[in-house]
Amino acid sequence: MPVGKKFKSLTAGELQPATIADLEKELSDLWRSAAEDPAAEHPVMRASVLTLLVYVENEHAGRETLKLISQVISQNPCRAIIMIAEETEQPEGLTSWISAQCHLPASGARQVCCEQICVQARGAAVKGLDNVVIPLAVPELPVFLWWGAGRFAPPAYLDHILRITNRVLVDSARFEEPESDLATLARHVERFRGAEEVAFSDLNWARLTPCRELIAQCFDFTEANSYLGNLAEVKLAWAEEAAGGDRWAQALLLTAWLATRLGWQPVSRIVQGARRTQTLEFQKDGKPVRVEYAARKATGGQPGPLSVVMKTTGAPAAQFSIIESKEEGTAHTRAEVPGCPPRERTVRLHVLDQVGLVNEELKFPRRDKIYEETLSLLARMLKA
Amino acid sequence: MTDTAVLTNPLREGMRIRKTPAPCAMVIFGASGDLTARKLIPALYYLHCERLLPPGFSVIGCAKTPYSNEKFREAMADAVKKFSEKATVDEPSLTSFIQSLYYLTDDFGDVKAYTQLDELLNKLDSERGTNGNRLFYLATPPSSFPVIVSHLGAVGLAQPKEPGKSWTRVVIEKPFGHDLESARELTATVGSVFKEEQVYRIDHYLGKETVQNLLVFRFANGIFEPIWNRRYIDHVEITVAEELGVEGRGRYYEEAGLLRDMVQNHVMSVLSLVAMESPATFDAVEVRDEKAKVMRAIRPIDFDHLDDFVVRGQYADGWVKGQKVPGYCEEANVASNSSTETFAALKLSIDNWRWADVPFYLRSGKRLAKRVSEIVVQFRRVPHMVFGSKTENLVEPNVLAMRIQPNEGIAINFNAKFPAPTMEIRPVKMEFRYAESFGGEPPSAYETLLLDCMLGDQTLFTREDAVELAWQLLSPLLDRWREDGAKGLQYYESGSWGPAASDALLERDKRRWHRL
Repeated sequence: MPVGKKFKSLTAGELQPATIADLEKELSDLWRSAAEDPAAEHPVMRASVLTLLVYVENEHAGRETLKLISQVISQNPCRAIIMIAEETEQPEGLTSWISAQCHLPASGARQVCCEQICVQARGAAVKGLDNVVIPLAVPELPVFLWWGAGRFAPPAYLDHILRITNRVLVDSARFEEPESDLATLARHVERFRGAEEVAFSDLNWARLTPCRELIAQCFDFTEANSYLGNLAEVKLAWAEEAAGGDRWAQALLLTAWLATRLGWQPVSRIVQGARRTQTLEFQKDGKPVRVEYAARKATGGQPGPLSVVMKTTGAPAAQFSIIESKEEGTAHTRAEVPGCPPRERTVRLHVLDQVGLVNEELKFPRRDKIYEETLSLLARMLKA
Repeated sequence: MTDTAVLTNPLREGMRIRKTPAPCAMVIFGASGDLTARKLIPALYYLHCERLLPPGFSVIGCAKTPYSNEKFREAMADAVKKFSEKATVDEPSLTSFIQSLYYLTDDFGDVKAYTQLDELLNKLDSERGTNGNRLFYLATPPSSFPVIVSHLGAVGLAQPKEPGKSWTRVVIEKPFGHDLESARELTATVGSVFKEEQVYRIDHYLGKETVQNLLVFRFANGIFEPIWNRRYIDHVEITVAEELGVEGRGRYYEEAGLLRDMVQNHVMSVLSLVAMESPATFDAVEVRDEKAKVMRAIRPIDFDHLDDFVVRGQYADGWVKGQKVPGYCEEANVASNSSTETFAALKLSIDNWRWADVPFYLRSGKRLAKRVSEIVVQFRRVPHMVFGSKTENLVEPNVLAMRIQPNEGIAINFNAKFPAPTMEIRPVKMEFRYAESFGGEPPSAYETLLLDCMLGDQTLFTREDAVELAWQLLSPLLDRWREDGAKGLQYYESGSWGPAASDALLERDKRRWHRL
């Protein structure tokens, strides 16, 4: 990247004490040196469509996040502020460093550069995070908070930051205890739904979007549509990674989504041995609906999308399936409806990586009411 | 008015699941042609990949070229690989997609062929669940439109199979007629078979993101609309320039010419979007009503002073991108003494309260200095220069430039004090570019428009009155040029910005084309 000496040192990121005046001066210097750089082959342009706050709880996670941020800004130019809150670490204090990330959107275009500000708080200084972070948010642009600390349980010192946040991004796939952590998240979503204008996104929910689309499309044609109200059995199977990437939360979200849309009321849960081999029972208009879960091992350590098989009551019954294909990144859908030939097709079903999902979510500043309803029902479902 | 998913499907509720059309069959007339291979099939393939096509969606290709289903599928798979504008083509999705393609070899000048088509459509309804929904796409030369439309009507294919439950639509590619008379004939032929709400006149230009953004820019921002009028705007320029010549389409171009090929549709559409009043809602009827009002308000060309309003040009040889290129009359299938225009510049006036006395300068041409489409809105100068007469010449009027292609975006020029002890004023530019602010790849114009058509959204399609009004304005000019032959035709060097008369058109008004 052809940048001047001063610009280079700034982009390298040097630790500074964190005061607003210092940070603002550093930011100003950063852009001035970029503009004055005589060696630059491409003029530099500063772009920002939002402020992205990231909350992590250790320095390693902060550094890892910085690497991801560089991929986010190419899709969503923004000012990124990474908050590293190490409440139990010493010495106490607030420090910061600034860097810039630049990319060329197209050959011959100008470099688009975005600022990254890391604010590291240790010990009791975490209580001062909001004083530094809030003034740095770009005025008049939406503020997103990417929760990089597993379970969503914001400490009190983040209250003011949450008040300026338009949307919180969590990833329930990273929840250690998906059931209780989703229930906690549901309570927070409920809390912020009222007076505060804070919306919530779950990257794990976003991972489900292609699958939900395909399920919905199964019932778009006339002959199948009438079977939607008669679904009686749903089987969800998924591949689990060797480590992490838990899809249990995803399976629960998908179930709760079907239940909210189709008017299923949770009744009971039957656990058969392993935690992820169990059945949830619902009722619709007095008739039972069963959802069975089966986790299997992922081949090659790679997670695959959920496979869904849905059957209706009655004879002959209709059956709809969305099955991951052998070819990576595709899904095979099949609809078997009495009186019609089977309808099949193969479509792409790329599961986006974390950065891809964040990029997608940053395009939606509004509340996702369907997600909120799903999460609310999920909390009830888990109590059943 | 748009279709939802037609049937009640509660799983579709919520903003994050995109709208997909009801299952349908698309019939492409002219399926062995260039448009099908280059644009339609690649666009449909990407809609399939993105899960935006409904399950059971089927395409029937119709043409005289003798193909089997398999041969057609092979040819279309090759077309996707060859003409795909996006990065990846994956085999499993492509294999699945081409299974939805069928082919009928027949002479579609013969009404009997349509009975066979009807049978295949009915078969697809029962086998693939296309529900009686049909989309007929006329990707043939315009001369075939009337006969295809008439035959569709004759065998009852123009009417919905089950009124109220299924739909039938027809897509017509430009040019919509050759002149006012032929446009009216085509409208009458189409209108005798299809209702206007079934007719989708496609102008791919309107499917471009930046053209649509024009409406968002104007009507979703509070700061521009109050100054979008004669009180603050000095003039408007619309340029649609191409570097390419006729590229082997000499025969077509000899019949069409620049005015029919670009101005009657693309340029006039852009003009109406720039000048229209705010519609009450972003609804097909309301948007198209407002566009039509603009067209009606355009003052007819003054033929007594034609040179003051119109420039007609033709490219001579020259250099483009370091390559020597031939003049128009040296191109294949072009008459050596052709007087067909490859460049046109017009000065138009819109006679309404908003735009009275604000000239709209339009220019379009082939073999120009660079490929660029841009709208430039120049605001009036400040009424009084408070910084003294020395700075007067340094103060440029504010300019708003909306770039449609390439590097889509919007820029505003304003004046700023140059850092110096004295009062030095310099124009500076504030710029927004799509690629820099949003990243990602926007859908192609054909993807957008095909999907809109299947969803029943006519907003981005041209209505019959707009077509006729554009011809009413331009047909007399075409007649005059035909009578004049080469008289008054201005030649320009390839790779230039057109004939000198084009610059003179603005210079007479003490203006100049903005440098693009």
